[in-house]
This record gives sequence, structure tokens and C-alpha cells, in this order.
Amino acid sequence: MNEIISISHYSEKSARVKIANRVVASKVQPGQFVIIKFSETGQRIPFPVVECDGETGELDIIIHRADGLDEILGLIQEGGVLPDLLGPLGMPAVIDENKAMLFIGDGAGFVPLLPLIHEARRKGCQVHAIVSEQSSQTKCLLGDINSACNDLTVASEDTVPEIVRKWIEMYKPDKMVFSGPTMLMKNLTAIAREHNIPADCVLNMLMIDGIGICGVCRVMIGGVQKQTCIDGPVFNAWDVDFDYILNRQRSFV
Amino acid sequence: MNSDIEEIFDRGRDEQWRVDLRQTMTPKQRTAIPRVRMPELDPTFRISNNREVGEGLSVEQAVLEATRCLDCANPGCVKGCPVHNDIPGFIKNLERRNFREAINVLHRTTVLPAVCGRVCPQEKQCEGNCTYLKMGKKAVSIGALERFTADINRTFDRFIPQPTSTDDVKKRPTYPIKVAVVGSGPSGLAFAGDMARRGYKVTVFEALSQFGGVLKYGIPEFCLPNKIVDREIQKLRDMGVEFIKDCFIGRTLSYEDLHKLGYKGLYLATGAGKPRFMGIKGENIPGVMTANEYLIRLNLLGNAMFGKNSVAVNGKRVAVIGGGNTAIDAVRFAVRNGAEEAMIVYRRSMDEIPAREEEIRHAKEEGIKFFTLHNPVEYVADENGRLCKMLLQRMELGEPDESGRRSPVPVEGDIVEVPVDIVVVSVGYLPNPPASIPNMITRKGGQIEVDDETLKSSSNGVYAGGDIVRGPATVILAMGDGRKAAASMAAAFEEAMDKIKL
Repeated sequence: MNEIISISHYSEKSARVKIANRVVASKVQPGQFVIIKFSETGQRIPFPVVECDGETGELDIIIHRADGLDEILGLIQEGGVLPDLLGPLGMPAVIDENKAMLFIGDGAGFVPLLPLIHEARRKGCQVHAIVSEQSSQTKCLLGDINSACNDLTVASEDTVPEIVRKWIEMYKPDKMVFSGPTMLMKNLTAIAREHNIPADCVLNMLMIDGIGICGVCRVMIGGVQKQTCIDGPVFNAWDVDFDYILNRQRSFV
Repeated sequence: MNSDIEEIFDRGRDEQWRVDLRQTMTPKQRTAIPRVRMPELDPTFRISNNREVGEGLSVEQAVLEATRCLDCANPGCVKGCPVHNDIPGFIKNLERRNFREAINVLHRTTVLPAVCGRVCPQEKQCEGNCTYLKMGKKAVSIGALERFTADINRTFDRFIPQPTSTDDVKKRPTYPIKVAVVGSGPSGLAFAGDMARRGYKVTVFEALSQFGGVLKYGIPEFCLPNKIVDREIQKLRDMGVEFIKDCFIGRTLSYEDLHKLGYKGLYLATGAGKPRFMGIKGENIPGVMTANEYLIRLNLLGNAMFGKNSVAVNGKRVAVIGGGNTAIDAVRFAVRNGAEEAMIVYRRSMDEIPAREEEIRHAKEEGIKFFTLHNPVEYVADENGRLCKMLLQRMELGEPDESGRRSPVPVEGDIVEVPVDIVVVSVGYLPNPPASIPNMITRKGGQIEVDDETLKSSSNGVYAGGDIVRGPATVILAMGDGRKAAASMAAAFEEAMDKIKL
């Protein structure tokens, strides 16, 4: 269990790691994540499961520089075994069938959207995606994203709102799903409200245990305190208090 | 106290050696001996490290303290103990220096003597009912003796590998019946030990990466060294208990999966660790954290291990809100972590504070300030958004509430400002998220509803105990529940097996 099947390097800033864990792989649903420790004494780091095969018992994660890529690559190698992998955690995302979906992601923020895009495709949705490109982090994912989308645009962070508005006019999406920096998600939620489009967002909060004990990932959803690890990480964006998150994230930089 | 426990004591007390031992000294001679003082690390030294504060009794100290015990005919200590340990029984064995037998006596009722000897609130339980108190003298130091008994036997085991607690295993029939335990805290461990001893195949599932639950993640090293917990877990492994980490029942494996894997019984001991907040202004500004976050970080990660994405928990001025054991643990950790000023903010007075007496004494020795009769009303951030001060409302005591404690009422307009870098909120816990068991009835707060006698829940074959049923309580009560559930589950299995006709 927890053998590292392969490590593919996308760029100097990201790598994709395939891990064997039959039990977890058979349970993961789109939107859920795992918490991994790369060494006995290391941190517990949450990763969205980007791809998962219950048959082979393998699951894929993407490690970014922000997760401490260099340190992690120093600790793992193909054929090695991870000391701890806990999952699946969080609630699965709800994706309806045959809808027009607009996905918007920024850089590393696109990683948690990948499984949702695949799921939307499986459910016969029209998938439109906007990737705001900040770095080569996104570039390496473009191939993956492109093959899963009906339509893909690469934007820069400044132009995202403009393009989103244009696409909303053009495709009349039934739902928006986005992930990325909190400020971007806050702005996108405002746009979704403006056009009265339901929207989900995938929150990326710091976590320690992932089972609802430490309270680090607490967020306010519709005026109620929730824990991202138990109740999330996908929330109805309209209900999320982004200012609260922005304030909490100040301590993490 | 139930009748078969009474029977054990009567038999023990009338044994010849014990009768003889009682006559070696007069009660007057015994009561003249002063209560032992366990050597402790000097406060100025111990705040620089995480070493255990109490150094334990020496053999001579323990034997002398054991001599103080009058071996009462009607021992109050046993009634005060939630699991009814045979306290005079083990103490008299210490007096005659039969340390092996002393641990065997303890093991009849408790599986974690090394832990309970350290973290039980003895002054409210066994020692609080000691006959010495009625004479206006200090109680027998039962906690220290229990700890001594467990510790010295651990030392013996190193030299003479002779399992004490597993002796009965060989005597019992082994059933091919599999039972699962969810959670490896004190309740789960106690249940696992008792079921294994009865001959069942036990698997303990733990969601986190280390076994021990609150004993590891909550109680700090300086109160309860991790190696002691590890040792208890090793003992269970030796008895054939299987431990599986990183398995979150309800997510990684469902209740149905456990069924498919052949588990016939399930004991839920998932605890109460979900933090409660006060809902006051500023509770979410960086610098305000839960006691769980603070303790998990310090206990498990070590401050040096913090990655660049994590919050530094070093603060010069640390305030812990609450007066329970967790709060005192957190504030004492703060001192060890370099806080120049560490304080407890508690809304009642020192008389109502629920933490253990010993912990409070240790905290005071370590220079911790107690802001009693104060309650936070707001946390304030500086221009960078970081916590800089808290506003405390002065309180006074009013009428007693339903818990019997005098409830605090605010003194209108009396608010003080206290500068602070870190606030640790420790104002109670809620039951952990449910394990998604079908037909499980829970109370409004999330606690599982069980039968008081059998600890059986509304779901078939599922028993529950410890904090998930009681709400936040003590290690000993959780352990007691584990034993009770094991007894009733085993009885149910045996009854079912009796009915099988071939």
C-alpha cells in the first residue's frame, strides 16, 4: 500500500505522482482529497485527487512548488512507499448531467478542477474552461485540460473577469465552478451573482488533521461556521464569506 | 459497586498475608507517616524542555507511602474510582514488595495504569474519598502509587520478558469472531484489550497516523510521555490486536465494508475533539486558534517542523481561554515554547476551575498567570491584521447553575484590555463527525445515544463509549466505558453462541 508507481515531471514547478492504494482509490469521488505525509516526521499536506482508478487501485496527485515540491522530491522515489496517506476526505462535488459548465482556474488552482471537469464530461456536460496563466504551473496542465474541454481559453489574471463576462454572454452556462486565489474567487462570485448563475468554488485552506479536529480550515458559509476538510472543499460560492478567508489567509504567507 | 467486584475485594482482604500485614503496624503508626512528595523537575529547568515533570517515586518512597494505607474494611477510594480499581489490594502488595502482583491486581480492572496514574483527577476520585481526609490528614498518594506500580513493572519487563496482562489469553478459548474498534484513544484501547483477553480477534482503526488518540495528540509529553502510550499499544499488539492507521471509518472504509470484511461487532470510540468557539468578535483573526490546533502542532509536529505554509505558533504573550485540563496543558506548553508571558483566562473563580489540582500547581510554579473572573468579549487585530490585544469582561459569581457551579455574570462596563500575540481557545469540545453508521440515533449535540447498561447503540452490533457518548470527560471514564462495552458485547456473543445447536 502507498507505493509510488511513477513520478512525472511537468516542469520545475510541478510533478505528477501516481500512488497505489487500492482501498482509497476505490472510494475517491470527484472533489475529494487525500492527506499525505512524505516522511514520518513531515507535515501533513492535503492534495486533491486529480485522477483515480478503482480498478488498478491507483490515484494521481499533482505536487506544486507551493506544497514544497523540492523537499518532497528529495524524500520520494519511484518504487518507494509513503508512510501515510489518509483519504478520501471531504465531500464529493455535485455535478448535474447535461449542463453547460464554465470552469475557471488559476495556476495551481486548476488542479482541483481537473477531476470535476472529467466528471462533467462523463455526465454529458458542455465543458468550457478558462485558465488564467500566471506561470508555467498552468502550462504543464494545458494538455490535460484541453483534452477534457469543449473549449479552452488561456487568459491572464487581469483579463479573466472580462473573458468570463464574454463567455457568459456567449455560452449562457448553467453553472460556474472555479478555484484559485481567494481574491479571484471573490471577484468571480460577484460576476456570477451579477448574471444570476449558480457557482461552486473549491477552497484551498491550510489543514492539519483533515478530520475536523484542529479547526484551522474553518470558513463561514452562509453565516454558519464550517470546516473545509469535513464539509468542503467544494462550497456554493454565493454563500462563502471570502473576506473572512482573505483575513485568515494573511497569517499563512 | 456491583456484587462480583465486592467479592473480589472481600476475598483479597481476608487473605492471610494481608491480615498479617495489617497487624505489623498500628493505624496510629501508619497515620503518623507524612504523605510522600514525588520528586519533580525544578520549574526553572523544566520550562526549557518537554521532559516529564513528575519524576516518579523511588521504591522506598512507594513502599513507605503504601504503608500509610490503612487497608480499610470499607474502602472509599474504590467507590470513588470510576472503574473501581482494587486500590487497597494493589497498595498492600506494594507494601509487601510484591510489585508483580500489584500490577496484576490493577490489571483486573484497568488496562492503562501508567496513564491513569498520571492524568486522573485523583483528588476528585480515589484520593478524594480516602479515609485520611476524614481525619484531617492528606490522602494516600494513590495516583503516584499507581504510576509507580506500572512504571516499575515496565522496567521489570525489560529484563524479564514475562507478559503479565496476557496470561489469561492462553487460558481462554479463542473465537474466530472479528470485532472492530473505531478510534485508538483510551476507550478504544481498553475495549481492544478486554476483547483480546476474552479471545476475540480485534482490529483497531485509527484515522490519524499515530495510535493513542488524545493520549498522543492532546496530552503533552511533559504530562504523559509518548513512550508510555506506545508501550501500552505494544502490549495490545502482543496480545494479537491488529492496528490499522490512516483509516477514517465512514470515508476510507464504510460500515458496509466492515461488514463485508467479516466484522461482527463494532465499538465506536471516536471521541469529542471538534472545537467549540465562543462566537465573539475577532475569533477568526490570525493568531486566534483552537487548543487542538495548538496542541497538535506542538505535540506532533514540533515547532521546528513547521513548513513555510504554516502558521508560526511562537508568541511572546499567549493567553489560553478556559480552565479545563486542555487549557492548562496548552498554557504550560506555551511557556515551554518560549512565551514570556502566559496566562489563563477563566470566567469563574479559582474555586470552580475544573482542571486537575496538580496541573494548576505546576502551572503556577511555572509562572503562569491566572486571569480568573474574566471572559473575553473581543479580539483586536493590528494594522497588519494580526492579533494584538484582547478585551476581557470582568465577571462576578452569581447563583449556582445546573452544574452546581456558581455561574459568572458580567460586571457592567468593567472591561480590561490585555496585549496578546496568541490566543488559544479551549472552551469545550463537540463530538467528532459521525462515522456514518446506519440507524444510529444521536442526540442533538451529536453524541451517540446508547443503552446506559450495555452501551449498545440503536444500530445492530454497534456499541459506543467514551467522549463520543459522554461529551468531553476523562481518560478513566472513557476507559471504563471501553471495558463495559467489551463485557456486554462479549456477553451478547456468548449468549448467541449458546443458542447454536449443531
